[in-house]
Amino acid sequence: MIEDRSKESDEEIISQVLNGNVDLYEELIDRYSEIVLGIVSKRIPLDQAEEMAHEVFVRAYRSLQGFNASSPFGNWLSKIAVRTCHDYWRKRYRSKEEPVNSLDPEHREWLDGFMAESARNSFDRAESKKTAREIILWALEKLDPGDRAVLELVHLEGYSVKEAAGILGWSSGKVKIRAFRSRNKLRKMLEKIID
Amino acid sequence: MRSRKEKLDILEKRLVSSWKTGEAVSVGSGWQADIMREIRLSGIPGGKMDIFEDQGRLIWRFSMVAAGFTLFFLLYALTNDIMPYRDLALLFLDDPAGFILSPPFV
Repeated sequence: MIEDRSKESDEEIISQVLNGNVDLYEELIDRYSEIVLGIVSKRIPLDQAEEMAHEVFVRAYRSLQGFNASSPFGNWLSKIAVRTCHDYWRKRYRSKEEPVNSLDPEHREWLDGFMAESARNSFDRAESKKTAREIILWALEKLDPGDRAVLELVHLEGYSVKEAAGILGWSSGKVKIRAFRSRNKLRKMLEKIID
Repeated sequence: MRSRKEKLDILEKRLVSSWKTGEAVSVGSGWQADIMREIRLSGIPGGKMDIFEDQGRLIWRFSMVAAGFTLFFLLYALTNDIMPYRDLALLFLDDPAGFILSPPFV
């Protein structure tokens, strides 16, 4: 008989997992897979999002004893997801697996169209979300992993400096400085490509 | 006609909003089962694997302690006239009193 666990709180499930009922962890994966996939798919190339989400859940499981029930499990897990993505970029940056490509002709065309339309205040008609997203991902890939992580959290997702500092395990001062610098870098990059 | 800075602001806003929307990702049918398989192999959390979770941090802490010990022994050796090479040479020459290696009296 399959037991209905939907009424049990995350904390209750976690305590049972820690007491040896490992199979119950599946319930937590059910509850949070969408959130984790949402976080990683924004930060990591889409073809690797599934593998990265897998790693997030395994990491969370291994650190489960460190979970403090004073904050929601979802927040704790999101923090692990963001840090796992940050580690991915750090590894990739260190190994420099693939050189950063220049913009595709399709992206150039989009930018030209965008600039022309924006001059006439009607750029919304020319928008193509997918292409715009590819351009921002291209720009982010040119930043170092620390700049990238802080820019994603503070500038792109609107986290406060304090929240971002908590997620990345940095001081607020460091986050503030890096956020300012990384945004400037992004703007300089955008300036170059629209020239 | 918009200024260059205004155009840049609009482009930035547009790119930021495109990033926020993201793209939906669906996972394969065996994805969850794969995670559970790995988890079952790990055992109960908090076991031996957790010790190595923060390997990097541990190594750096250990290296600081090791550097401290090295410095301490170096200072000790310098202040207590420990010369291992000379002692080894004396042992090798079978000259514990140090007659051969002692500087000659003039």
